[in-house]
Order: sequence, then structure tokens, then C-alpha cells
Amino acid sequence: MSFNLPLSEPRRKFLRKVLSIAVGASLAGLLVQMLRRERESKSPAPVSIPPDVSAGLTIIEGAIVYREGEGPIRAYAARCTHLGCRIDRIAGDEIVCPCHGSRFRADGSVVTGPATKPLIALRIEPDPKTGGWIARASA
Amino acid sequence: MVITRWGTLGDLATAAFVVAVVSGVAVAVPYESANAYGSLAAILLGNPAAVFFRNLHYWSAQACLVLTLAHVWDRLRAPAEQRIPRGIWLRLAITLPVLLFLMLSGFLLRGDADARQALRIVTEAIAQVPLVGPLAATFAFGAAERLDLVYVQHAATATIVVWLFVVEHARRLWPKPAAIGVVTLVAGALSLFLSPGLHDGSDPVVKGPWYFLGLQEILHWTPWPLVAVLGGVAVVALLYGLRAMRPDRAMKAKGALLVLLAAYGALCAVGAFLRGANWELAPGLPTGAGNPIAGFVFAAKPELPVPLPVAMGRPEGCLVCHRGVTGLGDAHRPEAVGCASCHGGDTLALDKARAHARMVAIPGNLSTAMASCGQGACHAAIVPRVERSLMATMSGIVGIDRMVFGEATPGEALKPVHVKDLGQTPADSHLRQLCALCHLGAAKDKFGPNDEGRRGGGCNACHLAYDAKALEALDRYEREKKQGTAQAPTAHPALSLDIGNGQCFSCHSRSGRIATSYEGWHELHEPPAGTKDLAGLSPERYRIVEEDRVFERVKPDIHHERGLDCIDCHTSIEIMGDGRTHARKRDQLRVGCTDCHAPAGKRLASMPASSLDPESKRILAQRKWSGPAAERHGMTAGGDALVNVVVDSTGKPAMVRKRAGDRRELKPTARVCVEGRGHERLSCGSCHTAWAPRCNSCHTAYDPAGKGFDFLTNADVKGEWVEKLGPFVADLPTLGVRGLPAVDGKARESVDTFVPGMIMTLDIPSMGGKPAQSVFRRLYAHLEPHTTRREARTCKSCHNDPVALGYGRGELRYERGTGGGRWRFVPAGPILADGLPADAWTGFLGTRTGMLSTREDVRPFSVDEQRRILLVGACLTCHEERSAVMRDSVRDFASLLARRSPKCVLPAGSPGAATGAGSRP
Ligand code: FES
Repeated sequence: MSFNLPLSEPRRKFLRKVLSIAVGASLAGLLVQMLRRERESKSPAPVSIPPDVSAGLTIIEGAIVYREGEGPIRAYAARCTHLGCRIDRIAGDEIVCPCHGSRFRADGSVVTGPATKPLIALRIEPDPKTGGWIARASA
Repeated sequence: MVITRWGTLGDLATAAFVVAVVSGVAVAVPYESANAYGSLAAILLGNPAAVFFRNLHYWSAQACLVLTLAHVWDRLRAPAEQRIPRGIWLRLAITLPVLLFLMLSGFLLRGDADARQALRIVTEAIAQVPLVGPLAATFAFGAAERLDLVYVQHAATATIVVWLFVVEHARRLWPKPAAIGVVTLVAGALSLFLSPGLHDGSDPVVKGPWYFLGLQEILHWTPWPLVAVLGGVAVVALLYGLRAMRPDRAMKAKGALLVLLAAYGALCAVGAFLRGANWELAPGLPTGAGNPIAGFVFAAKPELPVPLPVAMGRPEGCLVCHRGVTGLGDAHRPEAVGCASCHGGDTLALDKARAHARMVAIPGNLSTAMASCGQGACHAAIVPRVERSLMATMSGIVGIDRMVFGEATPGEALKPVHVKDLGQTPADSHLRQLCALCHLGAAKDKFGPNDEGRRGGGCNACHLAYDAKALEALDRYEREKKQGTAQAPTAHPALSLDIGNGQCFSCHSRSGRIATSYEGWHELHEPPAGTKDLAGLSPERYRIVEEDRVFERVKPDIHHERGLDCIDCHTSIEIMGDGRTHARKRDQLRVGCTDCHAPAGKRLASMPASSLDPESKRILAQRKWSGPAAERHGMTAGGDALVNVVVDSTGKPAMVRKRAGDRRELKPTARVCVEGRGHERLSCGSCHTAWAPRCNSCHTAYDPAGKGFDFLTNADVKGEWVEKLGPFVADLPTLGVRGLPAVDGKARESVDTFVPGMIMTLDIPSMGGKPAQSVFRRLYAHLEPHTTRREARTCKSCHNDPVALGYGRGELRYERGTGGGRWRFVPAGPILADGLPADAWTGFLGTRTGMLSTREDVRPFSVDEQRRILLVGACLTCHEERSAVMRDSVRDFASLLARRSPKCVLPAGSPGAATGAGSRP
């Protein structure tokens, strides 16, 4: 069985165009939504800092931990603020990104670029289970 | 148009693409995207045929990129763009970035250290494009560094797109067989011998694929990464726009594109040949782990164990050949940390030459320690501390030498300096030839334990310990090496906290000689009279060390007698430094006698075990002493933990010997040490030092014609420093005054032990330096001789002794006269030009000014102090040391003096006496 609307040819063409644009746009919209959700659902895992973390700068998984003597602990995401390289080494008193050579101080600020933004500080909470701390991205 | 025997450049490019696709399908079998690095490592180690296909995939892909660029250029020259329909031209322009994506995603699929960083960079760079960026990045690479998605986009999406567009453009499904044949042959030949490596993360150099090194360089220079991304988009847009341009404009635009391409190529070369770790300049050939490695793919392989050995979470080929290596100790077992984490080399090659290229045979030297011992997962916090510590910098020695040579003011000599920065002035060349071997930065370049002839070696200087097995294995290895049959030994020296005195001995048997003195050996200036052969000397009485130095047995330190090692007192933070640069040794020292021996009547300071700092806790866990864990540990005056000083619930302290694990009771000081105020300022060593090595004079000259050796560069140099030493004696030290750090703003001083530090003539004219006359220096040095004894030196040995008082050897006599007593001093040796005996620090009842010591905060006794000491000395000329009178004198000398008998004859002019004054001879 077929069902034909009594439409003229140009009208039919126009309608077909509108329909395909509408379908295409909805699909694109859905794709964007899917990608967005995917992006949002992936936030970095918290890092557990052991109670005996040594003084000075240390890298623990995805965090750069700075401890001044026995004093308080600070942590930054071990992710370069330039283009996201994982920082996996400490050079003396400075934190150096291996990819394009950005350097940061122990307080997270930039010594030399290309990075322009300081390292991103992580939130530190005591971890009663280990006696150490947990560093996580601040919301 | 370029037409080769096998077709056009376009044909060849398409052929390379097809070869890449087909070989890619083959490698897909052993490759696992979820375990990219591991599966590729397994291929490299044990599947030569798969290596071949992987190489073919790689080389045909590189060929495809290069040929495509060449083809594009070839056709643009024609100009052919006008002949291509607009839709196809658009798709061709899009093909270029898609092809680049195909190449890049192939690189990312390595999953090695370079690839993981590259994945982060591209994702972030694309995400920075406003609006569409984040979503495009997620679409292409996923949101969480997922290689499975990259794999799909690489093997399916991008491949299909490129193939479709190329087929549409070339109007044929398959390239010419001849083109496929030649590409297969050339890429195949390369594949037999050149395998792209994998970066295991130990090499600090991080680089992208060669065609992106220019981009990496651009990203290094600009703070706006978007510039690079949009630049790429602009190039593609320009390419597409060519078709719509007027021919003359199009020609200009093509010229510009060519210039851009050339400039970009140059930047790639900069990235490849000039950049090193942290993108710093380091010119050299690209030899990093990720670069292609030469070696025949089907070279004979040893039998592979299944599963492959894994260390530090990655397959480690070293362990295939070096099986059963023992001796390293728990923390550094090869099964846990592998070989390469210390020694470097290629963990994914099984043929020796390749595996051992870039290997560090002796790791631990400070020049490379950050990449081995100090790498992220290991001792990253300690190595920088050691680099700044005094045993590495020699700061005090350098500063003082320069001061003595007149090249630095005392103020300048107090600034931290580093031995590695020595220049070529007379003082610095003197240091290079006579001192620069004894520091941790001196490279260890031979196997075997350190000794007096082999010093330095960074971490190894202390932590590498050869036991009998390791020594025997090394011996065999060196013998067999000469015959060309050597197998690497399986008995490895230990890397541990088991640091014996021998380690310290290699450097500290010199200069102040604390290591030899501690064990009761005194160096003789020359062998005992009549010695024909050193080997004939009795080993009970004499000890011969490197360079035929002869030591004679004298009294050892009581702590040595009780079995204590250097590390039983000296803590890790003191030895390896606290992370700060210090100018002088005294600034780095942190332990003292009373940290273990509580002052009589007081409790030893201690802290609960729970408050130990992290390093001490780790050390404690490593030591594995038997018995219950201590509840409290001792601490230094500065608050450092003493892990091996343990305090029980009754407050009784004991020392655990760090290496042996057994205990020694720790006694408080004697009561007399804290009684009265007479000896309040005395350091423990002032009384308890049994002897100190003294060398009373020397002469230092420079022989411009001689042949010297520069220990800093390890090279022969023209001109030699010659030291002529005076005789050495083992004698009680001289006493003097040392400034202590102020407490509550109050300056403090202590009486301490001194020896002649530099009583010497510097023959400056012989160095061609200024001034044109020899310089005479009379400097005493503060020394803790490490010859502590339970029994103290006698009262007379201080109060009535010219050496103790700094006058030098001679006769110190007390003469009683009518107006009171007089002390007289007759020196034993000749008087030098400065009016003092050769071995004196100060004049008899006199003062000295100017350069007195190797330190600015010490001095000989002032005239007033000398008088007060000699006043007691006068009493001692009649009263026995142990008499009640002398005992009382320690408690309260003033009241004793007030109660003195009329028979007492005090030195004239002394406090409490009526008249007169001491006189000089
Ligand atoms: S990603 Fe760190 S400097 Fe570029």
C-alpha cells in the first residue's frame, strides 16, 4: 500500500530537504551529547599518598607531592598545564615537563614556559585508613 | 610529472599504503591494544617474524607519507589541480590530514612512554580549539587515554577514508603490481635490519614521531598551542584554495607552501638532532630508545622463557640472559627491579651488542644517578640531596684553600661552592691535583670496592658492598676477560644499608684521618728506621695502605673497641645532607656525644616511634633487627631521630648496632663532667680525645716543569704541585676556643680540640702568581680526631702543657719567687720569622691577630684565658691531680682560692694574687 500526499514536485523536494536536515541535525546533536557525557564521566582517579612520603618533591602516580620537612603536604596534578603531558621526573628543586620543557616551582608556579598557568593544585584529605592522605581533583 | 619504472609517485604512494594496510593486518594478530607496550615488547623479544611485519608496516607507512608529499608537490608543479573536479579536490585536501592522523595514531598505538605523552599532547591540543575542539578530541582519541578507540580509528575509520578517497582519485582499486613489488622489496629490506624501538620510560628524552618534531619545537616556543593547530588547518585550507586562485597567485601560494615545508623540515631536524631531555639543547644523533634500532631481525635468539620476565611492570629482556643474579639484597633484587632500571641498555633486545648499547656499566655516579638511583619510582628525593651535600661539593675545602692562597677573603670563603666549578687559578689547580679525588662526584669507572686509591662513585661510594662471593666473581670475570672468555658474573655486589667502615676509610684516611685514627692507626711520616721491605713489617703493629702509606698501631677510639661503625653515630640526613647547600662541614653535622650519653643525672632526649620521620621509618623497616620494636627512639639536639638509639619504658637507653642488630648499653656522662662551672665550656672531646695526628709544617710549591694529574678531568697536566710534609706525630691535641651557634641571641663558645691545620709556606713565586714572595700561613684547624677514650686526659696535660695551650712543644716551667710565681716557656724548636716556634698557634701569654685558623669562628686562648688556665696549673705543681683540693677546684675554684693556704704561691698578677705578672722568656 502506498500513501501519497498531494504535493507538487518543488514542495516535495523542499520537504525532503527539511526532513533530512532535521534528521541529520538530531543525529549530530545526539553525537555531541554522547561525546560530552563521555568527556564528563572521566575525571582523574584520586591518588593515595603514604604517611611516610619523603620531604621535598615526590611524584606519586598522577600527583606531584611537595612536603616541606615534616610540615604540611601539598599536591598538584602531575599534568603539565601546557598540553597535558604527564610529568614524571623532578629536576633538583624544579618540576620539569619532559615534552616541551616547561618548568614549575615547588609552589606550582611557572618558572619558564611554554606553560603559562601554574600546576593545578589537588585537594588533600587525611586518609584514616593509611594514616596518609588522599589527593583528588578539586571539584 | 615524475614517472619511474614502477609508475608515478602517486602509484608508489598508493602501493606503500596498500603494503602498510596488508602488513598492518598481519601485525594485528600478536598486537593487543589493551596491552600495547607489553605485546609489542613480547614481539620484539621473542617473535622475529612478527617483528618483520611490524617493521614492514612501519617502513611502508613512512614511505607512504614521504611519497604522498612528493606526489602532491609533483602534481602541484604541473599544475594539475585545475584538472581535478572540485569535490574530489576537496576530498584530496582532506586526505592529507587524515593520512597524518593515520601515521600519528600508528605511533600512539606503540603505547610506550613517547606515545603516551604524544597522546596526551594531541588530545589536549585539539581540545583547545574553541567549540568543536573538545568533542573532536574525544571522538578521535577518547576521553581517557584509551588505545582501543585509537586502534579503531586507525585501523578502520582513517584507513577506510584514505582508501576511499585515493581510489576515487586514482580511479583504480589496486595500484600497479610493479609499484607494490618495489615498495615491498625496499621496505622489506629495511625491515630486516631496522626495527623501531620502544621507549620504556627510563630515558628522560621524550620525543614524538620524526614528522612531528617540528611541531614539538613550535609548541616549545609558543605559549599559544592553538597557533600550531590553526596553522595546520590554514595549510590545508590554502591547499584547497589553490584550485580557485588565479594561476599567478596559485604559483606564489605554492612557493610559500614549499618554503613552509622546508622550514618545517628544518625544525624537525632541530628536534631530532639538537634536543635532549626536557627539550633542552643537547646536540647529538637521535639514539633514544624510541628510535629505529639496527640489528638483523632474525639473528639467533636464545630460548625464551614463557612467560617473559617482567620487572618494574614491563618485560625485561636482560633477565633472559642474566638469570640467577644474586647478592643485591632485598630491595634491589633483579626479579623486582630488573637490570635496566639501574644499568640502562635496551630491555627489548636479546642480542648482546644491541642490548648493551647505551648501557651504564657502573651506575650510581652522580653524573648519571638521577636517571638510575634517582628515577621517579626510586630515590628521587635523595639524589638531589646528595648532590648538594658536602661530600659532593667539598665546599669547605675549596673555600679554605682559596682563602689560604689569598684568592678569597674569609667572607668569600664562607659561601657555598662546588668542586666541579673549580677554575684554573693557583688555588684551584692545587685543589684539582691534591684534593679533587675525594668527593662523591668523582666518577667510579672500575668495578670493585672503593679503597684508598679508588674513591668517589656517587651512591656507590657508600652503598655498594662486595662480599667474598662478589669479589671472587669479579676476580674470575676480570681474569677471563683478559682471555676473552668472560661471562657476566652472577654474584653481584650488594646495594644496601650495610655500610662498613671501609667505605668511609677510602676518603677519610686522609687529611684529618678520622677513619684511621678511629681504628687506632697513626700514619708515619716514613717507614720505621731500618725497614727494608714494607711487606716484612709486623701486621699487628703496622698497616700498609695504598701508595705505601705506613700506619702504626696506637690507641683506637673506645667506640671502635666496642664494635661501633661510623654509621652507628652518623645519620642518613647528616651524611647525605638535608637538601640545603652548606658552605662548611660544621653546617651539615648534626650529631653530638650527648645525643647518646645523657649528662649525668638527666634522661636522654627521646621521641615516640610514631613520630619518626619517613626516612627514619623506612630505614628502620630495612634494618630488620630482631626483637620487639622500640617504643621510643633517641634524638639529636636538633630534633633528628636516631633510629638506632632506643629507650625502654624505664628510660634506659641502648644503642643498636646498625649492621649487627645487637645492643650496647648507653651510659650517661660521669658526674665530674657536669660538676661546677670550671669546665662548663669544655667539649667532651677536649678531655676524652686520646690523641690526634699532627703534622707541624709543610711546604707547598709548584713545579711548572713537572707532570701533574688533574683529578677533576682525569687527565695529565703540565705543572705539578709538590707537597713536602714535616714529621707526623700522634699527640694530645691543642685546645682552643670555638664559636657555637647562638642560643636565644646569646653567643656561646666551647673549648675544643685543635691541630696544626696548615703551618706552611706557599711558594707563590713558583706558581708565577702574586705576590712575588712566599707566603707563610700559621693556621690551626678544629678537628674531632675520633680517638675518644673513656678515661680523660690528665689535668696537667692541659693546665701545665705548652702544646695544649698552643705554644708548641717546649718546656713550660713554674718558678716561685718572692713577688709570686712566674711561668716560663722555652720552646723546643726553632723560632720562625713571625717570632713564634714552628709548631705554635699563639705566643706564650700572647695574642695573635689576622688569619688564625681554617675557620673564622675559632681562636687560641686569649691572654686572660691562658692566665686562668695557668693559675690552676700553678696549683697542680704542688697538689696531686686526684687530691681533694684539685677536686674542689673543679667545683668552685673561686672559694678554694679564697681559702688557700699561706703557703700557696700564685702566679704574679693572676686573679686573686697580690702582685706581679707572668713573664715571657
Ligand atoms: S606539555 Fe608540558 S611543556 Fe608542553
